[in-house]
Amino acid sequence: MKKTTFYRLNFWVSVLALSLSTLIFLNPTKTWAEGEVKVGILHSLTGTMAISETSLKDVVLMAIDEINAKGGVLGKKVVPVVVDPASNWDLFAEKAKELLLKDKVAVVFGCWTSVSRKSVLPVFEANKGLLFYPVQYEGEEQSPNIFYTGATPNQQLIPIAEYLMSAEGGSKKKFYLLGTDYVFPRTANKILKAFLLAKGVPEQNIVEEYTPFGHADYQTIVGKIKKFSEAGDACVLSTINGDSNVPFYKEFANQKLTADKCPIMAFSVAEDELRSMEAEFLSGHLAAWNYFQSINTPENKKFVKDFKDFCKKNNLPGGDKRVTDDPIEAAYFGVYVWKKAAEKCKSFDPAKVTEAVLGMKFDAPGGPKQMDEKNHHTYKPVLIGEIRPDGQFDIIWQTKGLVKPEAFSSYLKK
Amino acid sequence: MFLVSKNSTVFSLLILLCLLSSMTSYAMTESLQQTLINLGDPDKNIRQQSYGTLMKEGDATIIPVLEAFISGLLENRSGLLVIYGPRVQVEKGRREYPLLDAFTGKPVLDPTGRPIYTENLSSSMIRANRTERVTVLDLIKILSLSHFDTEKRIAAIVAAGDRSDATLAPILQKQLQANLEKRISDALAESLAAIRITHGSKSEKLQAARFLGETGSARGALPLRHALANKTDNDAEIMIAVQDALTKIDRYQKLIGFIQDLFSGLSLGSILVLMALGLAVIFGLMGVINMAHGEFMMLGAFTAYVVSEIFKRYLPPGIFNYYFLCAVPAAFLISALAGLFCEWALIRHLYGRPLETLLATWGLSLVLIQSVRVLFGDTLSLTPPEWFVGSWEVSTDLVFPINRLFIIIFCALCTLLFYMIVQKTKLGLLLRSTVQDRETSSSLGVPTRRVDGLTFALGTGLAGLAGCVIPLYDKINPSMGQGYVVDSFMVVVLGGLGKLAGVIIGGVGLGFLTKFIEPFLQAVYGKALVLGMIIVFLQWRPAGLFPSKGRLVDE
Amino acid sequence: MKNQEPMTFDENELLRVFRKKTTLGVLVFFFVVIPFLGWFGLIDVTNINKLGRYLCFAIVALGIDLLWGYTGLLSLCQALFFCLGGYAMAMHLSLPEGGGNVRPEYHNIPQFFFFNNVDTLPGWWTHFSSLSFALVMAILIPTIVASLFGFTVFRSRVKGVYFSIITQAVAWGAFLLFCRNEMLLGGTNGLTNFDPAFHRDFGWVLFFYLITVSTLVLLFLGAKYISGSRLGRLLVAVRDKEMLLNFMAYRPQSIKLFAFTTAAIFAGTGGVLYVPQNGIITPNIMRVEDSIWMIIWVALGGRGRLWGAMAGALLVNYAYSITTSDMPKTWPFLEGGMFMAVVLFFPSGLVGLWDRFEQNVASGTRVSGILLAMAVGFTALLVDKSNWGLYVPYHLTALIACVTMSFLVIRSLNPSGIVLATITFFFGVEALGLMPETMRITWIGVPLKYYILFIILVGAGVLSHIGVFRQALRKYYEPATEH
Repeated sequence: MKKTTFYRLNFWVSVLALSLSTLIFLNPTKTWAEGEVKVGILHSLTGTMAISETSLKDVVLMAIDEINAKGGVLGKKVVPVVVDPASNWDLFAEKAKELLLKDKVAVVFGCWTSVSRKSVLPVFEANKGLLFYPVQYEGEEQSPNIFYTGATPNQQLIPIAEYLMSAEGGSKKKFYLLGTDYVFPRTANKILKAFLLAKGVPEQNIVEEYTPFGHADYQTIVGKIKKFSEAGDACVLSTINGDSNVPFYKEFANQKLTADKCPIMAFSVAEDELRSMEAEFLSGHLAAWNYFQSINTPENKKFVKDFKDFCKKNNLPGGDKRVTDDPIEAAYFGVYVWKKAAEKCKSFDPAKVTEAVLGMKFDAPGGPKQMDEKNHHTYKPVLIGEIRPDGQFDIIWQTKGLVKPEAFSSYLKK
Repeated sequence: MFLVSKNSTVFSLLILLCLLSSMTSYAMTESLQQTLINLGDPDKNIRQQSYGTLMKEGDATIIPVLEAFISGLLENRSGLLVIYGPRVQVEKGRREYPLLDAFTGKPVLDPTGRPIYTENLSSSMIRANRTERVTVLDLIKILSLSHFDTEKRIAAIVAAGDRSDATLAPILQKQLQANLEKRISDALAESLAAIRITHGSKSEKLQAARFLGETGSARGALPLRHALANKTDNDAEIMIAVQDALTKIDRYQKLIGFIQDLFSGLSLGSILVLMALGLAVIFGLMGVINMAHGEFMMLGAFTAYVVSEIFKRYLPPGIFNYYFLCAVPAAFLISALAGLFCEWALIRHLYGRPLETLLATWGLSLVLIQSVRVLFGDTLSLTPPEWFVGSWEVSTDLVFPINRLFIIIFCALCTLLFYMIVQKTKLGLLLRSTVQDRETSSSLGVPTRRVDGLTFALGTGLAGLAGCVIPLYDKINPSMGQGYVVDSFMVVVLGGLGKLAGVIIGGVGLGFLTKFIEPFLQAVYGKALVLGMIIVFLQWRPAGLFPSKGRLVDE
Repeated sequence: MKNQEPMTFDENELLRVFRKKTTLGVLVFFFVVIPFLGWFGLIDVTNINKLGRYLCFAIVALGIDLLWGYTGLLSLCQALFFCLGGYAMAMHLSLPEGGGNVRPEYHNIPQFFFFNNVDTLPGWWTHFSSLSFALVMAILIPTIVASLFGFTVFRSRVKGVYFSIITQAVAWGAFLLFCRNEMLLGGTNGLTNFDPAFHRDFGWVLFFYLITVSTLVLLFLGAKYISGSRLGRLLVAVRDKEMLLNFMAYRPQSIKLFAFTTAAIFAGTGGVLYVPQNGIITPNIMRVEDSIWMIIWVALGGRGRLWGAMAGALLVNYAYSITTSDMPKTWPFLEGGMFMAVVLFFPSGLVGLWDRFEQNVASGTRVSGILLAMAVGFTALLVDKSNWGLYVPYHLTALIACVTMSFLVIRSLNPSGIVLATITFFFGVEALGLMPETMRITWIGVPLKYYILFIILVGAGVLSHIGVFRQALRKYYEPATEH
């Protein structure tokens, strides 16, 4: 009796195993791949950087959806391959290799921090890949395999320092350069300092200070700023990154410092970051970017609405309360730049696409832009926004036309 | 249908009440009204002209209009000038601007007699450009010297002093003679002194210097320094007086700097204590290395967030602030329940294997973080109740932010509560007996298993309480707990396992140490140095400040 | 913190032969099969590179096992020692003498100096232009740091959980310092711009891979020797009855110091080999979290057994790497769930599973079936990967493989064997990049292969627990316990 049960079960188990393993080995991929082109999305979805990078993943997926709805690129459907480098820089390189070699993607959209880009850079150069990097960064880099759709230092820092020193900006004479300790703030502050010194600001009127990632206790620093700005002619140039901004601004308001007396000009606070703060007490502080959600053009309004709809439709956290900002726009038009270039050269080959991208003119949600002929960066306008009580920015100043990107800043001595 | 309309009437009434209490109505002359309308004129000359008129004829009543004008909240609605007032909750989750008549400050009513609200700013807003704003700001500053709102009036008076604006001295002098609130007259006197030290006669200067020295404010030091630098205008006697005053101010500033550091240290310390309390229970008493402790804290913070959202959506806006009172017990309860469940499902299988609890709770923390991330996303904000916004000026220049003060008090209360639970309740008694000798207690009929569960729940509940107050000064996101865990372990180890006093002294001591080192070294080196000091300290007392006989001692 | 003794049972002849064969098989696989497959292009260079890097982690795990598994000291700063070794090597590699990619615009020194206003190479950096100096330093620095720190800590009798938490403080403090740009070690960006050939060209990759495997084998033998010697027994004695050791006039402090320093050297060595294969080193892998990961490797593999630690390191890292690609949003649930499940259900980790398997082997169960099945499946996937598919009809191979595999696996009805074989097969196939595309079809965000894995594992679990089967198993396949 027992023996029969055993054998009967044995039989069913073998049938199950057989059918399962047949599934393993039936390999229809070779017939799939014809009408498709794969693109990689390399943004951290977990860990410390998830807070910033998740939105970029969302917008790239939205762009891909839009493109597919209109028939894809060169008649092929764009298939996104999303991976999670988990805010782990070593994993970034590993995932980049995987995307290029295993998934054979035509292009990768990704990275936020400088260190993640530095980590994948050799991978893209060695394997002849193509990366669109959408965030403002410290410059001093120009890889033939990367397109930088964010700003270079000269597209953010210098116009802003000039503005703050002008009568319109409040004729500021003292500058508190406060940043998170990594390479972008270091370089940004170095450039700013060189610029300010060249403009005759005395050394003792410039203070530089750095806090570690994730710093949450700004009592002492705000106390220092308070002393520093006693005379009302000081401002803070903040390159504080990510969620450290929340405790910083909160402390700033609670110690009775106001934007009238000492405005904070932020280089890393955009609409998406403002979602995690109560914007009411931030009102009046400034930020410098190349795009704001409040840009008043039909193209931009459509883009903003589309993004909100996309988030709502896909049940992403935040739904239609989501906002767009500079890196989101840069990530979004990156996809279209790639599409346009691929269509121009009628190929997905990274080398050919690269050729086609250089010097290309295109329309982004924030207005027409252009890729540089040589240096792989993007011509962009520079805008200053003032934080409104509703977490949006009023654009109070902007450059006339586009500013040429300088990958290698002239304010850094070689 | 009827219900709905009735409902919304009630709502409108409520909102109206709120508005009336917050906005003061006022009346304005005809000519001023026309001038204000002209501010939005496309012709630059007319605008210039109206500035001139306002400069001459304006009074405090036009300040709200001007403020709306510079912040872009003013609109010319076919001849009617309206202000977009501070946004209020109208319906579930929708915050809208009420429209206010610029000339009277009263809500604009629609034909049916209900106030009008709009969700978005209209595209035809009148807004000053940046240069005009400077002019208007100056105007506001002068007008505000007699603002009907005391806070704004004081701010204006202070600003007048800061600019050393000699033209304002007579106004200030005149106001000083009137019988005013002490706060206002203090500010007036100081601003007047600040102006006189630069512009006054010799006797005035001497008097002003003495006065500023007495006050001791850092603000007063600025005109004094100017006077010191400006040698040609001043004779030796004045210089000595100025010098004297400066020394006095310096001494005073040093003193309050010290107090401020003390306060910062205390507030940082109390946060550490709050976090470490729960950990001390779990780690110190039960011997479980709970790596997910920060995540239970995060659960508390998100409970507070959910409670605040419920208040925002379903309850009248007037009582929004009270969400915090609900959030505190809710956070405790949710975190404690989650803790109870985790203990039942996971921890209870691992007693006596502390290092394996480390592993399992590490996995637990991964799961908790990701669950919250999937549910809520990464970026959201928690509005603190209005009570905790702002600060309390104890003495000149000595400012204690109210949220920090509250955290200190809250921490003290929690500690007290915890002490009472452990010392005075039956659960506490059982808990202590279980910790001291598990076998004996068990044989005496103590349900040690259940006590374990409740102890763990108590610990996680305390973490939930911490999570409730941490968003008052810090961010709220799924991985917020990670930054606190290492610190709290440090506090528990520093204090010694199983003694409440150890946790308190450990936490507050660590807070003081950090805050006294930070001004000299930058934050990073300060932190590294503190860590180094902890290591050295543990060389000297390897079992912390208050070593105790817990379960772990046997190991 | 008592640890159960590794299970021991009579080593019979069958077992001895089996162990010998397994060891030989593993060695052949790592030293011969992989290089050869790489040579023929059947395994991507990336995958060899990845394996090489993960084997560096296995070296660290060995050290942790000596320290934690044998001596019972849970250190949460092993990642720091790993980085100390790594940084010393990275300093050499980022200089032109080590193949670093430097540019004249930046004075021919690593670029990050430029961001710190440094024009000439600091004195203490210049020495690192010599490889031998860098190598010596890479080992010496962790040794010195560990022995100094260990000396003070153990002298003042810090033990147990206190020790863990102090090491945590050390790791954190060091992390904060390394993040500072003033340290002139690259700040948060770390050191990079090494010669890209190291992780790109087959020759270099194979070279580093083979060096890593050889080092691992050597260190394994060393650790095995230590653990088998009198010193090894002392280590265990420190773990289990430190008091008693004191009475016997031993000095537990120096024994602990020895274990701690050895573990640090192992970690440093791992770091040295890791850096050129990884191409970048940043303070980020120095964090406390990473040290905890390292502990998890060992815990999952099975503490107190050297090979368990190594296998755990490979397993966890591959699991992390694979799941973050396959399930970018849901992987923390899987990983977190795995840790909890292992702690709850397999407290002795992989080792426990293996021991059960060995018990079966010792009693005479034939395992050749399982091995053969794996070999067949592996070959079929290789055929798929290669261009031989042109000559050999793929579906035919696949069908034959399926039939043989299921038949052989079922024949050798042996739950622990099936679980082990499935895990090995799954991760082996993933590691070598042979997983067929079909397996990536997802259903509610989880690819097909995980469902299959889940079904097989649960099936095996059920198999070993249902009464009928247990009886059947006992009757047919379990050791004859009569003697």
